[in-house]
Amino acid sequence: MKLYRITNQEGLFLRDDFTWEEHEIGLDVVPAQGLYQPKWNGTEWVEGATEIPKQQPSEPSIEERLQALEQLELERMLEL
Amino acid sequence: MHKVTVITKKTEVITLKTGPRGPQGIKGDKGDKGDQGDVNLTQLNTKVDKLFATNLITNGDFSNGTTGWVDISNTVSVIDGRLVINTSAGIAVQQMLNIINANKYYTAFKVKSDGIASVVISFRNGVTNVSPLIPTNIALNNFQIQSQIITATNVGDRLNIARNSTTSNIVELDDFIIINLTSLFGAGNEPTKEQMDYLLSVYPNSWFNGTQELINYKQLLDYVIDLDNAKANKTQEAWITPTLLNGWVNNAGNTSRYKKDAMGVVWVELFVNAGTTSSVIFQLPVGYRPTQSLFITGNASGATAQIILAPGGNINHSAGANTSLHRYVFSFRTD
Repeated sequence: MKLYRITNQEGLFLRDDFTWEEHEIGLDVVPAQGLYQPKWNGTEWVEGATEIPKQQPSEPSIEERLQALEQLELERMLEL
Repeated sequence: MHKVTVITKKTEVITLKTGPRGPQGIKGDKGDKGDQGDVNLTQLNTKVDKLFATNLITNGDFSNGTTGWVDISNTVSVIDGRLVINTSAGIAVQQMLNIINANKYYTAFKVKSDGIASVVISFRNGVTNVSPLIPTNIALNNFQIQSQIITATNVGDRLNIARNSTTSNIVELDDFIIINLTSLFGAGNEPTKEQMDYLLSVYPNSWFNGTQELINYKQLLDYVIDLDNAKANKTQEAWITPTLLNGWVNNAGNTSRYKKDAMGVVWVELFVNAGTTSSVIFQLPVGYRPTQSLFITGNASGATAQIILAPGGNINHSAGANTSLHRYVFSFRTD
């Protein structure tokens, strides 16, 4: 079975699936990435979301940074 | 791998002396080279493509009443196409057969009783048993097929069915079949009881009247070989690239992917970053989803990260900075 990109009639991505309903469209195209709501414009995936949430980069916390440093140190020791 | 037993029929050893005598091989070799010029027709094993088996029993399903059967004790009857024993007296029902000494016979019939009862069968020559007495394990109220291979210990002239208990329970018998395996397959090549049970299972009630093609072995062998080839050639599903949502992107050099193997286990490799925290990274299609929520711990640039797989297929970011590269490699069953 082949997996298709399923969109609505307007091209908005709904899901990856093997089947689709009559009112849906199955596309045999490369999957999207980096988009909030992918939309197929006939040739490529474009952003279909009308409101893109403002990206709030979640920086690592102090604990996460410490854990990452410990992990790096551990990996360095194991390499020795 | 299927175990295939191919029943072959060994040809007779025929050596035609047509040429001069050749040199003998060195002792210790794989064997003497034999006489040159001889046309050796030995060692030929010819596959039996068609086997026509004959049920030696006449009217084995009692569709013609007692035709072919001899009611020695005059106490049995045929009701609804079944031989019915409804007496506590010892009975004997017989059918005349040509029993060959040392030959193996596949014997089967259906039997049931409404209580504890016992019936024994044997080959006889007149009043003398020429085979072991074969007892039957009679099932209560439900017909069961009793089958066995009987080896004749002498020449005989009949099958004998005798009641071996004094209870008054009703015993019913049906669908008798007897096949001379030695005649059909050759001495030493007779199939086992289990093999015969299997061969006959293609017929209704594992029974037939007269002569039937038992099986086309070449077809059976081809079928099994095809099955094995199909199994050996089975290819694993290719990796599937998901549609990433909510700003999540594949990390350079790594592509997120998933697939399901033949055992129903879904394998996922996830390498993403830059998406919205606590959002859906991608959705697994139907058939690739867990039956319950799964919490997967991964790595986000050295720190612990976590995603949650929901039964609906969504893979949600749960913990770990979205500026870090999230790496998860995991598998789960779908049943």
